[in-house]
Amino acid sequence: MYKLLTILIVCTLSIDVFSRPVSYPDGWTFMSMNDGFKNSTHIHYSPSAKYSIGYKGEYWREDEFQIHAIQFNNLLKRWNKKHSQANLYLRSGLGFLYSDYQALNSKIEPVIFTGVVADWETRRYFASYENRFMKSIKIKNNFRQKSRVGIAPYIAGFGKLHAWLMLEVKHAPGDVEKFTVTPLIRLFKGPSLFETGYSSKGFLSFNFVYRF
Amino acid sequence: MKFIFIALTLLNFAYADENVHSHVNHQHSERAEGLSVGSIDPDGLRINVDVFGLVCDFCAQAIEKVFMNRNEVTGIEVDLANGLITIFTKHGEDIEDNLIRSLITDAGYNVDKINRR
Repeated sequence: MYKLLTILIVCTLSIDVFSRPVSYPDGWTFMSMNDGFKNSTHIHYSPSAKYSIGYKGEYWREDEFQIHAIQFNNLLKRWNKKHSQANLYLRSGLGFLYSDYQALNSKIEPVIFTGVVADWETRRYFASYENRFMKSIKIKNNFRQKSRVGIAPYIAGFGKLHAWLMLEVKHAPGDVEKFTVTPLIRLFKGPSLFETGYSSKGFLSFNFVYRF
Repeated sequence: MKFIFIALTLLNFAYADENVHSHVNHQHSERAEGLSVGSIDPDGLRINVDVFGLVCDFCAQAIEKVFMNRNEVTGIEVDLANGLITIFTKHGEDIEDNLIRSLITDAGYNVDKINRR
């Protein structure tokens, strides 16, 4: 299993990632990500194409805790080629975690998290990897990672409707069922991106991103 | 099964949309001719910039934002297929190569070459 995981990580790191946590200079981005584990919102401002800062809010349904944090996203390296682009980002956050799960009874404590995002794409193919290590004092510590591969069924011009078919694999070492596989369809046009999928655990995913 | 049906339906719409645009584009020229945003001053300059990394439509929105904020610029064309940005200026206006390189680099891309006509 660890060999498989290592191969997956190495392969995806050598190719690419998706979520583009940094926008263009003076650009704002709104992201809403919803899947079987959590609902999250991220609003960030990019003073330059190298970094962004914003609010990150999450609600983890099963463990019944919320995170409210300031998140910093840094573009560590970008590789621009004639027909491809690859990026490596560092994402880090600092905030507080709130939980009223069972005996925790409305407990609040500081939380920090950090992780890398890597992506590679051409106009036809896409691959990404991202991970995150999160630590609070007592309530919750976890490590999660996910990877995606995608293909565009047709090549659309600038400003037209773009479609991608993607396969996402999530790995949560602390969970009973460690792997979740989700086929997704992504559609975007202009500044709006929408995607939806249905996971191997029977949950619907719904993500929306808007740049302005 | 429901997901597959919905996905195929959406893709069908998407593909149909692209076919319509492709047909229209082919009536004009081989390349996707036409402005992405703005207008063309017939007496203005047409600056072609070959760019590295211009593959993602969602990210290339930055190019429009950056150049349309400038007074010299009347329109922009982004050609993802050829990695080409065309900047249309007002009559008597120009943008220096160094500034173009700087704006595109700041937006996250690399400039290969610039030419005017």
